[in-house]
Amino acid sequence: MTESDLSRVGAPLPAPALSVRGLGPAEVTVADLTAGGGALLLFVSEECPTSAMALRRLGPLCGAWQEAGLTATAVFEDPLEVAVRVARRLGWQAGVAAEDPPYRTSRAYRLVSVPTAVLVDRAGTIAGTVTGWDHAALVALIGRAGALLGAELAIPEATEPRLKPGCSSKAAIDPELAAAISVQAGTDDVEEMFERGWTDGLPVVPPTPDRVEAMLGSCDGRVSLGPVPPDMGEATLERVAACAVLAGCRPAYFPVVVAAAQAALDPAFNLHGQAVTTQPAGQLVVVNGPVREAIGLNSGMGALGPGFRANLTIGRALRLLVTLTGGGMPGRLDRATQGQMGKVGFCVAENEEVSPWEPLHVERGFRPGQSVVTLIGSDAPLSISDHRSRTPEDLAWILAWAAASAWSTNWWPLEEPSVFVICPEHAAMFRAAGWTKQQLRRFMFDAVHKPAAELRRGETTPFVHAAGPAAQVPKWASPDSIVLIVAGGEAGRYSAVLGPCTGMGSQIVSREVGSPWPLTT
Amino acid sequence: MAADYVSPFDERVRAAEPLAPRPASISGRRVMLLDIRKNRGAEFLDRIETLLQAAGAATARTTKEIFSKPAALALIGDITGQADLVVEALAD
Amino acid sequence: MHDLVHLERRGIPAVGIATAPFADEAIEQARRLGMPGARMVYIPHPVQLLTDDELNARADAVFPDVLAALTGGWSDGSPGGTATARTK
Repeated sequence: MTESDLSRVGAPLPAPALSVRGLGPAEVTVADLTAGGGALLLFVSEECPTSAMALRRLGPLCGAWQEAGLTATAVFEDPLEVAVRVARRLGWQAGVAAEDPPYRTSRAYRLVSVPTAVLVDRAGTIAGTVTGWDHAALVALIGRAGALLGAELAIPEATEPRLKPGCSSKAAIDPELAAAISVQAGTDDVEEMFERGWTDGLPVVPPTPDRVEAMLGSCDGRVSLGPVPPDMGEATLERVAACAVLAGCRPAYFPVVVAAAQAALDPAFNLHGQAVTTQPAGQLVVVNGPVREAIGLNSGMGALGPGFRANLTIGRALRLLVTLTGGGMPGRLDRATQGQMGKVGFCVAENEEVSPWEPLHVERGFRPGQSVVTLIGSDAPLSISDHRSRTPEDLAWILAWAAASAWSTNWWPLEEPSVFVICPEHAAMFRAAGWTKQQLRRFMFDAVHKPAAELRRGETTPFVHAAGPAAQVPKWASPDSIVLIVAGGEAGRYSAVLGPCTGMGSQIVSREVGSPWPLTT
Repeated sequence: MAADYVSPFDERVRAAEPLAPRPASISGRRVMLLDIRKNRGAEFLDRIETLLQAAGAATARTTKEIFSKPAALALIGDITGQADLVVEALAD
Repeated sequence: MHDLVHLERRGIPAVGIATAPFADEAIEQARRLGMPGARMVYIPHPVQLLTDDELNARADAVFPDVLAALTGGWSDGSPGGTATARTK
């Protein structure tokens, strides 16, 4: 690789025409580049460490070279935007150009490897080439350029390594293959994610450094939210951002993802228990406040289903944090017997606008104008149809009794929360009757009672066991176990209830969506 | 090397994936020599190939399209159909 | 390293050969890919300027480790395989 053909005898070769993209609209020609007296073309590739070294070491010299009449251009065998980014990162401020496959220019210049430095004189003939990083040969080449220009040109310092081979030029492979590979690159990335086990079974967005950087915004990626159970992988913001990218989030969603992660990692939530249990529970994320509209969260028609990027990807980002960073992967540490689709992700925005009541976050002590996420360990939704109740009492009775078998038909009472998602039409009935949330809650609690004798089939709670056969046993330990939110479209009379995750002391945890940003502590 | 993705995993705690089980010897096995097309790699593998054959292995050669990218999964698939063992060289 | 990991996942024992300066990067890559035990053997750097005889000698020197990596005779003491850069 250290060949230099400065001493080659024979007719000087004309420098082949350039077929490259420059930064401006005008075509990049050899004549333009040599107008000042001479041109140095430095063929490089993004993936080549020796190319990077050459750009770093020669970059600082280009300014002085330009003044003496030598125009330096880095010709990348990469897309233009990659070339610009890499050049900027390496401090190369001279000319940048880029070649597309099948790299005709590299081929025309007979490149075998990159980096290759080609000196072209004013007449457009090649005055010398150096392949790879060869300090001595480069000094000779620059000396040759200086002789052409009648100037003394700065040379790179003789730092180690003074000799380093380059990498194969992309022109060195078959052109059709090169074209085919550049097309395939996208599909290979998607398969690579599956190959590495970085998915939840669905395709993910590969977390390239650029995407993760964009997701982080001004956040410090090194800040950690703490260990994620069950593996206890550290949830650095960089990893949380990687999960958000994988999930398909937009950067605008990231503050909500972080707040959800913070809430989920609160010890009171007991994410560990949820991540390894045989129960099907997932982590329900309820979002309140102005952030809903700001990022396009859906709280109307289809609120519990697919169709809206913010809802689906935010829920998914949290779950990827648990399954990847936390290692809570189904079939491995996640032992859910059947699981449920909410474990792909479940993010619900409350329809505060049509709700007759204060929203969930206000109930929990936040101001209406605050944006808040609330995490609840929850089962899959059970649909509750009611099309014919004419009184709030009848409707409340129907809603409450739908939940009688949530978790279990007779393991009563339950302390852990059941979450009722009341559709707007159902909520309207309570509005018309002037019922507060507390009244509804109280009614529902009172409605669902059974005599202990009827609850002694199969497993029996100590409470039921100790009670007299006629004693009335409530479904819920208290009305506080009934959580009420409003969501859904304004036409249709289907509400839903999500059963609890039980027996692990999991508390509902709310967290304000971070402000101010960036998160640095 | 090509810029990699940002991993969501904390490698310090991630359970290691197991390697494929090893045969007791290479005698009679098919070894694929995967050339990543860097300089001197082909000659280096020539010598390794000779040594493998002397040790009783059947050998075959193949190359990667672009040294710096992971081999296309199609190539990996082809190799698994054709070989019992793989030697990949020479990263320089 | 990606290739080695892909192959191992498919049940194909594999070994990569690189020059010694690659060791740090290879170990890091193997960890990031979830397979810290992926096997590499190393020869001294550089190789570009070696004569054919010298290059063959490198191959000869590392061959026992190549065999060990592919068969049962490897001790997984250190993560990412053993850096067996011979000095000859």
